[in-house]
Amino acid sequence: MSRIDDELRLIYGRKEPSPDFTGRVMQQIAARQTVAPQTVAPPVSKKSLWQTLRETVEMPPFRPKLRLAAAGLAACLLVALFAGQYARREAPAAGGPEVAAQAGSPSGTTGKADGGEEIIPAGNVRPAATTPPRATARKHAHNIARSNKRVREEPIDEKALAEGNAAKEKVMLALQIASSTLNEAQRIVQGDSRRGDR
Amino acid sequence: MEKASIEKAEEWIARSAKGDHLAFAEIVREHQSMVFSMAYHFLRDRGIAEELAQEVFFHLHQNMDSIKSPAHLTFWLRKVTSHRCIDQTRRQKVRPQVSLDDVPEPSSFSPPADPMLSRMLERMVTTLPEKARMVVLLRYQEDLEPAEIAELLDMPVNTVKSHLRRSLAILRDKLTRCFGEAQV
Repeated sequence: MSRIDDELRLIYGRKEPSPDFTGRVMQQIAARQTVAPQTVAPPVSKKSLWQTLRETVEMPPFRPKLRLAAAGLAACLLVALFAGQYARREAPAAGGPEVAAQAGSPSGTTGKADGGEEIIPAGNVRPAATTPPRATARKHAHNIARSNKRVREEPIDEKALAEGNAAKEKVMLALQIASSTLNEAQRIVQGDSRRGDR
Repeated sequence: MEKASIEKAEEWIARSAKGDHLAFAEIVREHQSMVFSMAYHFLRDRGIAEELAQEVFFHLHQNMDSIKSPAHLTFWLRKVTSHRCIDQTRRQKVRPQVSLDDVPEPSSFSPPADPMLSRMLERMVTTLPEKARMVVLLRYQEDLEPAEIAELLDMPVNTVKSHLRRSLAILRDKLTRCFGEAQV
């Protein structure tokens, strides 16, 4: 055996730890054993969201107030939902002329009107499957009725009335001239035919 | 190990497995020197070595049910300690990187029993890679055969042998450079 082996055996001789080593090990084990049960949390059963909500509402100190608040909140939500639906339903009718103007615009792009109605340029054709035809016809009839009603309800301007009357007289005069011209033409045609018969 | 001491050790193991703290304290007392020495020789730090040894015994206390015999207990302690030592070194990089340039040149010729040689050798061993160092430690501290070391460190026997051969060659070479042919 070489010298280096002996030296290695010498330097790797057993060493003793500090005298209180065993005591410290046992203390550490005892300490960890006492801490371990406290740190282990009891198994928590999973609660659903509904169960948690119900339990929170049923807590004695907050019971009446929380119930009232929940009822109020639900009522507010319902009202808001209903109002939103109503506004959405009314919006397309109010924005009708604007929609028509935008439809005739040179840009020719598809966009959304204020009321949420989709505008389709003249060249584009809406796919048939997007809305049922019966519903579209009903909606169209509803819109026409609404616009007629609005026209009837508008106050008549006097200047416009005078202009209208003048235009009416001109049209009547033109019709009279056209009628007399037609009569003369007929007479001439009838005279020519009689002369031919003779 | 004598028959009486083996029987006593078996009794301690059986009682410890049932939760007897006094029996476990006896086991700690019996093996603390081995575990601490392994940790100390490997890590070269008394405080860290004691902490590591405490952790090993705490781990043993948690796994006393799996210990079947005194031989198994010794094997278990050696295995856990060696793996923990290697992990600790890799984690904290406590292995001092002593290069040969840092080792002071001997000023004069020293006699064979000079403690300087031992100290020099000790420092040179710390420059070996972790696994090679553990192989050397188990071979010379615990007097284990290469097959036993291979089983402990989960490596082939030939790897253990080559680790040993190469480590001794490195140490011999370094010592020769420091002390000359006559010393080594």
